[in-house]
Amino acid sequence: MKDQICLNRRQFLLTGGTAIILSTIPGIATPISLEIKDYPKKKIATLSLLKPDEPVNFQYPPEAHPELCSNFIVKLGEFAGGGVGPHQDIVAFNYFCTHMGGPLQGQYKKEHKAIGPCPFHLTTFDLTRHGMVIAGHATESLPQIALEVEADDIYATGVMGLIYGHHTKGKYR
Amino acid sequence: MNRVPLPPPNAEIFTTACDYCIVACGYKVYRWPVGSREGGPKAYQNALGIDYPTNMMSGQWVSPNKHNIVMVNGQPHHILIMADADTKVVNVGGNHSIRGGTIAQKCYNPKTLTKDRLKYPMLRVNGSLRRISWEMAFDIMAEISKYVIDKYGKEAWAMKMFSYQFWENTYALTKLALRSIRTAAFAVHDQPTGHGSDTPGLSDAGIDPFSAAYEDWKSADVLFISGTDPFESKTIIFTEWIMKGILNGMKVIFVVPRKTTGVAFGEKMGGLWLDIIPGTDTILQMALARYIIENGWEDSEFLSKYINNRAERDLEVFQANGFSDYKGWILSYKYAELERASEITGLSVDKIKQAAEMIAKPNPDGSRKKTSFGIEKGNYWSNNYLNTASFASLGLICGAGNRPGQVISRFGGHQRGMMPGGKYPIEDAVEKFPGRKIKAIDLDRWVEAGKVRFAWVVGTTWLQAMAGSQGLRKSFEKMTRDNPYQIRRLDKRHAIEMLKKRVDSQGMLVINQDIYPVDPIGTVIADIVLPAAGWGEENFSRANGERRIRLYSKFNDAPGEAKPDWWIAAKFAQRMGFSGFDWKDSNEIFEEAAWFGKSRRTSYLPLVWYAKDQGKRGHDLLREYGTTGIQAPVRYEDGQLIGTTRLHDSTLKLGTSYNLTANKAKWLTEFKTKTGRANLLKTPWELFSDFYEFIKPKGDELWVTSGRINEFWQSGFDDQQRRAYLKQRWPDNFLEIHPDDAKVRGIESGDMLLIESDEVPIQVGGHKDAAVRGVVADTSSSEAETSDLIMQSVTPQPVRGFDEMMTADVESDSLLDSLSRVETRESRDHLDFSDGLGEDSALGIPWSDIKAMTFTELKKNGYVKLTKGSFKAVAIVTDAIRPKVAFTYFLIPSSPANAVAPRVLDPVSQRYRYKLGKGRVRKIGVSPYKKDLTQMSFKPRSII
Repeated sequence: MKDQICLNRRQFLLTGGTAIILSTIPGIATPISLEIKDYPKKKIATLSLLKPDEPVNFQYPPEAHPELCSNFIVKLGEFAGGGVGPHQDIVAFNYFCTHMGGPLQGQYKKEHKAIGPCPFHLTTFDLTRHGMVIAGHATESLPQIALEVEADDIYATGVMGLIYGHHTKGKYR
Repeated sequence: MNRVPLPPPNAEIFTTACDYCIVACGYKVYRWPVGSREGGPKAYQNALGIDYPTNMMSGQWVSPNKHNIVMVNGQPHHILIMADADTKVVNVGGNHSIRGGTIAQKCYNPKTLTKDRLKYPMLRVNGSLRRISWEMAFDIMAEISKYVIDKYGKEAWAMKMFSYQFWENTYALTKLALRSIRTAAFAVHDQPTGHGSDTPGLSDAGIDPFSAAYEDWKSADVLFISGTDPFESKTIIFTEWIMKGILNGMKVIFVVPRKTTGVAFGEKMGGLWLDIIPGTDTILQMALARYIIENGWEDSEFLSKYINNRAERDLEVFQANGFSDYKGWILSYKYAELERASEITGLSVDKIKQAAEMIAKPNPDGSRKKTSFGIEKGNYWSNNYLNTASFASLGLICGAGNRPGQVISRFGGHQRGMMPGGKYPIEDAVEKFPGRKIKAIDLDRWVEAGKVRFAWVVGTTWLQAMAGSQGLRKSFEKMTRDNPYQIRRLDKRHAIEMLKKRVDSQGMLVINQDIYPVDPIGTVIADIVLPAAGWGEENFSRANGERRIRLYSKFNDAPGEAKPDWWIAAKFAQRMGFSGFDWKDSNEIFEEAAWFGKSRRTSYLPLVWYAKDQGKRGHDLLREYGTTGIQAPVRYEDGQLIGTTRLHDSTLKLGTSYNLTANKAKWLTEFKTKTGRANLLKTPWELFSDFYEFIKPKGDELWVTSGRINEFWQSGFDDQQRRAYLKQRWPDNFLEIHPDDAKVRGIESGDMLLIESDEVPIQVGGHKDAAVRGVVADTSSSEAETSDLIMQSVTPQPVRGFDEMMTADVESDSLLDSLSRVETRESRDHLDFSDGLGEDSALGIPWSDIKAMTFTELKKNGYVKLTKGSFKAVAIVTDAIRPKVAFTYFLIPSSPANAVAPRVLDPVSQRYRYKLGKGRVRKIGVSPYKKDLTQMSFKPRSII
């Protein structure tokens, strides 16, 4: 499995291990998987050009649905799960609400380091916590784009979660 | 998960509705065997008939949480559970909440957090639960039941059950408890006594609390919402109906102390947020009514046409003699004055005026705005009778209640799943407070008084779900595991012998019937645990909040030997020798219950009758209605079955009906009173102010109020605890606290808090032979009015007989009193308030009955005692909550908010005041979520 050889990157992304153990219920411990699917590496931004709280758009993964695979990268100015850069505050996410595919362009909220509300049904997502739903209806976190930094270049390397509308991360056409 | 399998074109499809909130969105279940050919991404290659990737708003994205693997006749099958993209009702086009969207994760799959589902009947032996057969369980239960009933009477045999988990189950269970056993020791999951209307003030006004249709929530000009943000947990009422109304120009007023997404959106779009101090809604509602009347903004035409101009009874405490009497009362009533209202509610005079203008001021051309009124628990579970009665009066003077887009209604909590199989035997209730002659048994207090020897708990946590919960738990422990007689070996005769000795020594046998181990009632207290089958594991039916009935299809196996609740009740009943329990399947119960429930708002008798006429089974005909279902009361008119969009609908034209009782109900087109006109109710604040002064926070205490959040519904079992994504979002209970209150306590988001109160008042004693009386110092505030002034406040002109009534020894005229009570019941008997099991009206209750139950009188007579309570929660510091008020989830079983909620009942309606908890809040540590970025979020729920 391709996923299993990427442990270093995944551990880095999750800021604390590959899985969360839910152990509140006696006798039950089930990991929440935050699996990353790797795609071909693509340069998407330049570190020194990113300004705090100003999202920059990019397309990824390259072979996917052109409309639904539009994403943004943003420097939150705050330590974030999966963050890269010297302050681990640079994160990237897909733009489509994981409820019913509403477009989140223009909905970045700098005071909350969040995106939303989705114009369709008002779902909001926490960008410091892997795109987790803050309030709303999405059944999955907002897909986070895995990032790597090499010198001043920021690369997208994979996607955590299914992008809205897709039933698979593999070839579908 | 990197891919979700698509259903092949030949996948089986079942219709159902969501198991969770009142809205009951329509869903389709796609099912195909594991190992068979999967569907492909082209429309012709899959059962959904669409190309993947899907488009925006297709409503058909197969997200990973919509997939699961279940067993069908022992064989593994894929399932995809998708909101029905084709539906034209409720969740139009496949809209869904996060709860329904992840409902596939609720299904039993031993590879998920659901693996601890109860699978076999179990008996506690030496403290541990051991597997036994159904036969053995029924043998023990039946023998102990007979023993207890013979020796201690039928009221020593108690049942505490859900009111909502499907008609077939509730019918069977209540038929057993109320018609066969005939016990008065019966209560549903959220009420201490019997089962009645949650909004008795609406009922007494003649308004059915589920009269509205969902389309009414988007077709008003102004919507007044009290005690909830429907976005949080009645999601689709908001996103599909209210939100669309707002986008179309409707303005919404929210009366809640806490701002969440719906409130923030409503406010942004020209609405109003009234961040009220908990417990003061009656004052606000009276002030609004008074200001409206002062300005002559009331709907005079409506009032003259649809309001009773005379009270049904003399010496009536609540009902006004028509609008003029109400007007005279409220214009002279000091607690309806704006300045005083502003002081008590914490809302500015300007805000109250602005709200009054929005809901009632006529347009410049003289036309009236269409205003609707929606109510929920933040309102009615803080001051039950007065809040709901003053809410109804406010709505009525604004002309709401009987027209499209002009309704007064609940939004609802649980789905409407009660179908009584018997009537509550009120005549056998043995409560006895001075002056109060007939009252349903408060089951919690009944247990605490040691009166219950056999308690059967079905589908509820019982202990944490009730107010003042820590004391109740101690009583249970004392009577079960702390009793000297415990079962020591897995042997039926031995178990029966021990349990008989147990019940003969002030002990109790507790049966817990549920789908998961429930802590502590199942894990610690019960001696017998029975595994139930639930949603998707049997064919069931029930109605949603607009009375829409659907079939909830069976599509997978229950785990192990788990059985539907109706089956368990029926087998036990047969073992007891009761007849009428030989049903072969759930459809037979559905058809039988149709006759018993023919006068209810959820009546569907014509559907069963029509099915028979067509040679079909009732369930099968209902299945043909799919996710659309049919709205009750179901009518048969002009040769066809039709649903009823709303109740009390003055615009409804009835067709020629076949002679079936339900469709002749006058309340289809009129209000639910004898005359068909609505009642205006007076609401003297003094009936509550004594308790309010006692309970309101003092010193460094905060209000600790509670409610739901959007992300889960079944707090005790299958979402917050067992659906991975929702557990990741909310691994623990939380407490929202204002930054000002947090700062002085050194609290930051993510800190672990202890919330504690050593002043949780609980009601005790009150039984015919009870020596139990609490001892508590009289700490009543000098600000509180004495109860005797209340009657004067309602009736400014003394009426004949008033003095005698006030001074009469309430004990001495018991015959007269009970006669008047009986007469009251009979006089309202033809009115079926059909929320529950029996009558529930405060109209005509003699003043002496009410007076004896006020907090002042209870305290004076030693019926109130103070206990302690505490729970832990993770801090969320946010200005989306009012200062001095903290908000927590209402029931995380390990951290129940009800531990600090008062257990003193409303003097009129005998309901709890769950929302009026208070306590001291302090930091006791730091939760792991403060730094762990993979779980929980501390962002405000009001980002717009």
